[in-house]
Amino acid sequence: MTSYRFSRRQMLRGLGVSMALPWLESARVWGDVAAGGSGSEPPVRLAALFAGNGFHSREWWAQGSGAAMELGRVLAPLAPHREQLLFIRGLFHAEAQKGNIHSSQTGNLLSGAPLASGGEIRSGTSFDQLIAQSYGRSTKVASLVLGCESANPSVHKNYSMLYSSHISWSSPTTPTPLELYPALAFDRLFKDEARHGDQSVLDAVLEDAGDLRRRISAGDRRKLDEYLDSVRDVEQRLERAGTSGELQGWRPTLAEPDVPRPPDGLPQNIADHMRLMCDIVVLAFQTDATRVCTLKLNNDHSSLRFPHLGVDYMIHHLLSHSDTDDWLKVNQFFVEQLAYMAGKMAAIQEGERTLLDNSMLLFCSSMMTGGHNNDELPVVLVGRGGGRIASGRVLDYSPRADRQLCRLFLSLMDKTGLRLNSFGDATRPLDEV
Amino acid sequence: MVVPVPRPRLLRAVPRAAVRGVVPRAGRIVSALLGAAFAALVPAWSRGAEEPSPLEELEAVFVGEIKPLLSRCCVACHGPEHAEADIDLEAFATAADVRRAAKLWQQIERIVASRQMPPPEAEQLSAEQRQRLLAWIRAVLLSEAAKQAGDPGPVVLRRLNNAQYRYTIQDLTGVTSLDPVREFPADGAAGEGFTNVGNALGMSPALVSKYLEAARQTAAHAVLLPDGFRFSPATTRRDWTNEALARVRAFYGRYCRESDRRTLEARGADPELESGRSLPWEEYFAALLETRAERAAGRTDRALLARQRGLSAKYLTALEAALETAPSDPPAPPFDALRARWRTAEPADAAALVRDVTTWHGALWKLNPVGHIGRARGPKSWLEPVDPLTDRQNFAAPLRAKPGEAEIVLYLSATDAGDGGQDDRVIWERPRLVAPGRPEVLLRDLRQTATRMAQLRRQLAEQAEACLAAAHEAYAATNPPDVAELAARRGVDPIVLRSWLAFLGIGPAAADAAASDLLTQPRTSVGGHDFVAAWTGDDNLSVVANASDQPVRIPGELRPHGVCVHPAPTRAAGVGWRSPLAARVRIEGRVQRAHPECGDDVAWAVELRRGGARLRLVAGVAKRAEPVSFGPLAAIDVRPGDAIALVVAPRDGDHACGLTAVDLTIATADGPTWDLAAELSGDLLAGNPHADHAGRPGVWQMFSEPTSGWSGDAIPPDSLLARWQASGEAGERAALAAELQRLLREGAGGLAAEAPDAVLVRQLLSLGGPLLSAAMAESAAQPGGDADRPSTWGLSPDAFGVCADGTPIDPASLCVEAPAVVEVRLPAELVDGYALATSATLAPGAAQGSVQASASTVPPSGAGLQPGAPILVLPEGVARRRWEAGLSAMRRLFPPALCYGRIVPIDEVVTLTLFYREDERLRELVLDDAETAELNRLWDELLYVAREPLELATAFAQITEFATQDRPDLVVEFADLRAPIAHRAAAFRQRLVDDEPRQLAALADFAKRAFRRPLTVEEADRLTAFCRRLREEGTAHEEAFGLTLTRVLAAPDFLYRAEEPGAGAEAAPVGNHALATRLSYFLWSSAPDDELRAAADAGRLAADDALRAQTRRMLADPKVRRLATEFACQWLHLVDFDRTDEKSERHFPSFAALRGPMYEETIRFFTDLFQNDGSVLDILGADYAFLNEELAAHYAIPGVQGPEWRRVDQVRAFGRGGILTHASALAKQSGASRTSPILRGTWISETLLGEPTPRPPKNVPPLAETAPEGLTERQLTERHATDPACQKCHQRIDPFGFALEGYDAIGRSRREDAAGLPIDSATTLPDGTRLAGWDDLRRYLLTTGREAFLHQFNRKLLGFALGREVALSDEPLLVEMRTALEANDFAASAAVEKIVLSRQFREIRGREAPADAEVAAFESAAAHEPSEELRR
Repeated sequence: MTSYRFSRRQMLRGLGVSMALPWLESARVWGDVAAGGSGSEPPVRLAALFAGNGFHSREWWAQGSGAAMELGRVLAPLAPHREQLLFIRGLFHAEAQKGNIHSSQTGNLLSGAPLASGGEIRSGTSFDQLIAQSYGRSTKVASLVLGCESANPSVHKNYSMLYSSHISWSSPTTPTPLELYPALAFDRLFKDEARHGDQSVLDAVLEDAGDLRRRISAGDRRKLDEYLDSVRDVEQRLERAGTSGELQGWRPTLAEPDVPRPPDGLPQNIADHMRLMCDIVVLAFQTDATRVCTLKLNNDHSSLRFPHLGVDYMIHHLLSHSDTDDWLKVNQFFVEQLAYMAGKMAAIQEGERTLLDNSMLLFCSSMMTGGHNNDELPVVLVGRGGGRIASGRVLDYSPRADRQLCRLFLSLMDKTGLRLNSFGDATRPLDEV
Repeated sequence: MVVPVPRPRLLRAVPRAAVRGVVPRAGRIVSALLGAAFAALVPAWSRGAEEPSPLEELEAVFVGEIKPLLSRCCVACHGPEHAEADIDLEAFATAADVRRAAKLWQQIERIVASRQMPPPEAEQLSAEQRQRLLAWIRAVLLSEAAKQAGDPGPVVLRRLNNAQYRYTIQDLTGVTSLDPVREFPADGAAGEGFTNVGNALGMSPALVSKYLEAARQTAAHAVLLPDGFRFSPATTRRDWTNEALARVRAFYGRYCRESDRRTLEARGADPELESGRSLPWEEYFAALLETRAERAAGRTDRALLARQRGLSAKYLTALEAALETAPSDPPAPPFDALRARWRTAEPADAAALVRDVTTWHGALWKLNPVGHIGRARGPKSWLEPVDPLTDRQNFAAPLRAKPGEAEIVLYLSATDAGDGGQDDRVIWERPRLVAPGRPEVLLRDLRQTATRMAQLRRQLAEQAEACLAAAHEAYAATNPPDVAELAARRGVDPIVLRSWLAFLGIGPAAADAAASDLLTQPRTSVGGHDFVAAWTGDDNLSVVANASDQPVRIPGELRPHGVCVHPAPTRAAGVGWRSPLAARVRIEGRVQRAHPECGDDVAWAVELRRGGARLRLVAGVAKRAEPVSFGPLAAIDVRPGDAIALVVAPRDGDHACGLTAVDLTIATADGPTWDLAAELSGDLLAGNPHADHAGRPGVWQMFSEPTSGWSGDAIPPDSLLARWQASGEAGERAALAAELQRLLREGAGGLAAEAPDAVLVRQLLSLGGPLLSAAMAESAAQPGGDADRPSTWGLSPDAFGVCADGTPIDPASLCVEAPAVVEVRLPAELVDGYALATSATLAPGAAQGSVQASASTVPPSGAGLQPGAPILVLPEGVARRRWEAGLSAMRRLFPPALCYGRIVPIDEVVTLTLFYREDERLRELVLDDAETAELNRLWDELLYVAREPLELATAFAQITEFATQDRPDLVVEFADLRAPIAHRAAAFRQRLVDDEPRQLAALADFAKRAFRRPLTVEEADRLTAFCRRLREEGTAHEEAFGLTLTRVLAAPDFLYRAEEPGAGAEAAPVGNHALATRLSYFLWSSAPDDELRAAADAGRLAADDALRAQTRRMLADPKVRRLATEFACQWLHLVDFDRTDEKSERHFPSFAALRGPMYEETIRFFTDLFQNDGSVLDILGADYAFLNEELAAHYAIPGVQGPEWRRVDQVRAFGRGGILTHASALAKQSGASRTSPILRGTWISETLLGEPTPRPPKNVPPLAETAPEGLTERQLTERHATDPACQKCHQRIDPFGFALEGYDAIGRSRREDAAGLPIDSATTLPDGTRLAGWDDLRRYLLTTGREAFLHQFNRKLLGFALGREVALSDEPLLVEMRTALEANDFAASAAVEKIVLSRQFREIRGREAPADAEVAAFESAAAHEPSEELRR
């Protein structure tokens, strides 16, 4: 009678529930895992960059290794970083092949979880957020989730477009809100948050929430707990605002930002917007204000235009349905952001290694090309993960059955010291990574 | 095309027959079926329990027919083995199992119906089998829907979304400019595609921080008031104060108008009156005049009349009473005159009556500087009554000769003041000629004096040469001359010669040359600096010196070792150097304002003073901070006793901050040099006069002198006399003297008026000139004169000293009977520069008399009453009492201003008045008690918000500090104010503390509105306790209050719409407040307003009628615009269209400016639809549009001018009407540079008709990289759809889009596409319908598509209202909505009311209700919208 329910889903739900615990408790779950090596070692940082709608169908490729690696034209901007590069072909999410195009291919990109349709919003906690929760209170901010295109508030073919705009999920039911404003992202990292009275207000509000919690239904309580946990998180961070740095054990190379706060408001130009966001990610890592950043350069189903490239006659999404030179130009523009970020990080020395050596920059999309095909996903990794990744290689999983993208995520979590038995549809990491 | 659909119960009868013929044709339009489907469904539900249950039948069909079918065609993939898409159909053993998984089976039904299943490779269903299967599933679903109908459904706790948060904050605060969510992340949509679904509204630490910040920002707008608080658009006290000020001013503006500046200035009134507000008398007079007849007949309601005309009933009544009272007897001028005029006035006379009234203002009132009120000896009020009644009126008529006229005529006029001539006996007392510093001449004696002066002038002219020769001799002599001897020797009149010598500075000085008035009061430690000293006089007059090496501010700046002078309002201040020797000197120096940031400019002059003569050497004005250097003036000959004076005077009689630095050096060629600053700054107080550096006593003098004689007399430069003075050579001097004498004798008529010699001649011959004034002083005592030349000037001496009735009066006075004008001719040469001074009084005993007198060179204008002029009466006379009565009525009823509208005085630089209130007259004449109370409250708020008592205390301290340096006199004056000001500040501080509980109570009340429910006592206490705890920790009240407010706005009860479920599993009605909140967020996206909350408080909302009434009221409210935006625009994917950035700027440069108007059109369209209860079908078929000029131009619709929005009818002729042709929709569903028939078609199909299209395949082949040349946009699209995998769907979708090809990518009508190719908008739908273009499409959607469209509208509206996905259990309600629309001409309110009155809207699932069993059941399989296919 109940056999049409699915064990996989229940398993994921089980995981999701534990993820939905207040971060403090979550941190305890993984608290015994040393985050990124010993206290004096620079930690391993993760940045996940996303570009929607895939890439040019013939120009996403790499072959050879090390300095001799050859790159397709989409990846050309990464040429200077070939030796830091890991080009991975053939990985995919089985769940993302179900459901709708675009949104159902994106909302679970970093979790591999099944997506709920209709009135429900449910994915899985994404691996970047698991790392953020495991790093816990080591940094001022657990993670930074940035975007350069505003989320789309609609439902498309019965799937919320939330899925199309959020790859980072702090719980299975909570897409992490994106910060679009560079200045506000900067403030979140560097503004002294402790203002007189904040603590009192939050205390009181928690008290109110406790009251309210008793009056509402069980289902509503789960929703309210998102709020309670968030308030508690803010409060804890306020408490620690004055003592920041003491818990870290590791002294970052930069104590304060060495660039001015970006101007208020949204940048007029998408190139400026992306550049500012990349700068903030680098700055965040350099100051160890956070160790996990997710940067969604655009939405899947993106409506960005690129007048600065001379491509303003068609929005990104529609452009992706072609293989034109303009589409290639736009692809390269996105990859340039990764190259720029890698270049900046390579120039920052952290002891023996560079910041790039200590980081993992994951660059991916939810489909291979604009034709919505996702049986193989484009994945590129830059950085050596604290020396734990042998880069400068091309890995090809395309002929294999166990080519779950979640295996890569298990690998990357492993580099940060977070070891899970399973994640998404994978139970073991990629041996080669 | 309508295809009959079997009623479910037919299934058991003859299913085969019934289903025959319903095989759907390929590409049929789903909507075509819906009407029939509804017809079939309604009886199914309405049958209720009395019908036999079809369940057994369904069960039988399942086992016997359906299950085998599934096993054959489906289970291979969807069985226990594979369970593709996680669907195992074997698991369904009974029909009951199917019913429990209704949602999954909705899905299955859809996929089978759309022939996506079974897949081509599987065994196919026959058409009949397919139909059998579908009919059975529908029947099961129908029975399930009926069973669950009205289920409130699963509604997860909803956070306010960004729009709701913004609207709620705006409504709670009343501040529409607040937008605290501007930089919030976008909300997610779920359910039916709206952002009000709890599931999609997440929370995160980053968002909590944003909410906290938003709450803080909102709290910063709270302004504490005595009895609570309010919100302001601003966050600074300065702005709050200005708002409070504006409120008071707006109150003043209700009945009064700002005084008309022009009339006031025309009357010569103080422009300050401009700041006052007076009544619009003309409107009052007109109101009374126009209704005179009705009022006489007692037919007028004054209150109504006043209301109609926006006038004060109170004043209208008072005015009427005063005017219609019979004139008093004896008459009380001038009010009785007004009454008299009133009696015969016509409506057109209102303006003239007003003039009669306002002419009196100047005589009855005077304006005082508000800045002076409150000071000791200061005025008591701004507008002060003046009594024009007097027993004596003084005159001083200035006498100024006109060029070329020999006489000046003066008129002494007395009128009867308009009340008859009884007792009007006037005495002109001692009329006389006066000039400053000169002896006066009685008018009585003028004839005689004129004769004598004529003689002297003749002598002057004839003896000039001789006198100057004598002067030359005396000049050369070493000893002072013996004037009598010299005169005798030269044969000249000694008086004349003495005048000459004095004028030329020869001979013994008549008086001390420099020191008119030495300053005598020393002051040390000026400004607290022991190195600053001063000599001072009255009125701030001073000479100040800085003995130190450092500059110092007192508050004007004193340079190191510098000397400054400070003049008084009517006195100049100066420093003089009195020559101790005879020498030729060189003079230079500098003048500079020392306090330029305050006050006005000063006038200055350097003069050589010798005897009675002042030779002005140089003069000017020092402006701002610019230093003015003068000199060097070389070759000035001085003699012992001569003085060089540097004088500084207030310019134009202003004196504030007139501190002026002065430098003066006087040097001899090879002898000593004097330096004013150097010699005085060190030991200023050593004496006055002060010795020079060599100890010569009395060289320096600090003095003051009146500014009245400021002009002074100087020998005109370059004149004959100046040249004579400069020469010194006897021969040359003699020639010059001869020439001068000739001029004096013959007159300077041949010269230009301003030629130096012409000026000189006038000066020498003037009665007030230096020669004759001195001579007149000597000769005044000498009667006689030249009997040969009798004068006809002035009046006969016989006219003086006696009245007509013989009563003796002062011998120098005149007596006349009014009305009378005495004309006096005066010799211009003689009297120029003098004034005629006299006083007018009534003769003793003239008790009934009242006159108006004037003494002027202007002929009197007429007889009768001169409004505004003083009236002479005897102090105790009967006349006085009569006049007093009339004038006081005038004053009481017609004050020139009712209130001081400026409130903040600006008439003084230094003032202790921050806000000045003077509105007693307004309160007395106009306001009723309630209005007065309101005004008092506004004033109290103003002073409270401005913290006036505290500000005043601060200002007082500052002013005192300032004054100790600059205005020591004020310090004394202020001394008495210190205690009251301090006391008031202390009382205010206490008041602030006392008000805290009231403010907290108001905060609790605010929390009730913010939480949208009553607060428990504990909750209210907790708020108070929170604030108190912060206070105890040392937080100031205002901040603690702000934090408490922040807490309310950050609380989950505010951010979330929490609802309390009932116990048990059953659904139950939500409480009144929750219902009010649901309703309010449905229709207004905001918290309930006062009225809705009151209904909830009273527990009335549960009743259908009350709910319906509230719904209607709320739909009619302008706030329903938010329903248009949040529901309609979100449904149509147009929300935030004004921010869309998807158009190519290169192709559509005008788009950025137009997207706002485009969005506005759509919002206004739907706002109108809901607010005016339009037909839902108008969404497609309206023949009207909402346009402004900009958008109309975009649409090429003529005749729409101006930026304002309006409804324009009959737009179909221009290819517009309904959402299909809104530029917003057309542009949104287009590409960046060209149209997209696919997007438009999909939008019509999915969004408007609710017909989902299957998902596009996952491996869409990419488009060719370059399209062949010469294809239209349409052909490009058609080419795209040639792929067989795509064709099936595109055949359904694209034709809709093709029909709209007549509109370009930003919604303009067009005949050619971007490439210049002709547009083809003709198309054929899959059902064979041919459409020629948009109008056919519109018609098609309104007929064939009508049911689908209405169903979609209802479904979306319901989904929005409930904040969740529409479920199977909602199907009956959708049917009811459809029926209600039909029955009400499709009025939108019919659908809204059905929702509001439904169970799902009014109930909540029970606490113990099981979670939806099937939520998890099929989600992986879900690829298309489920559920509405039920009716297919």
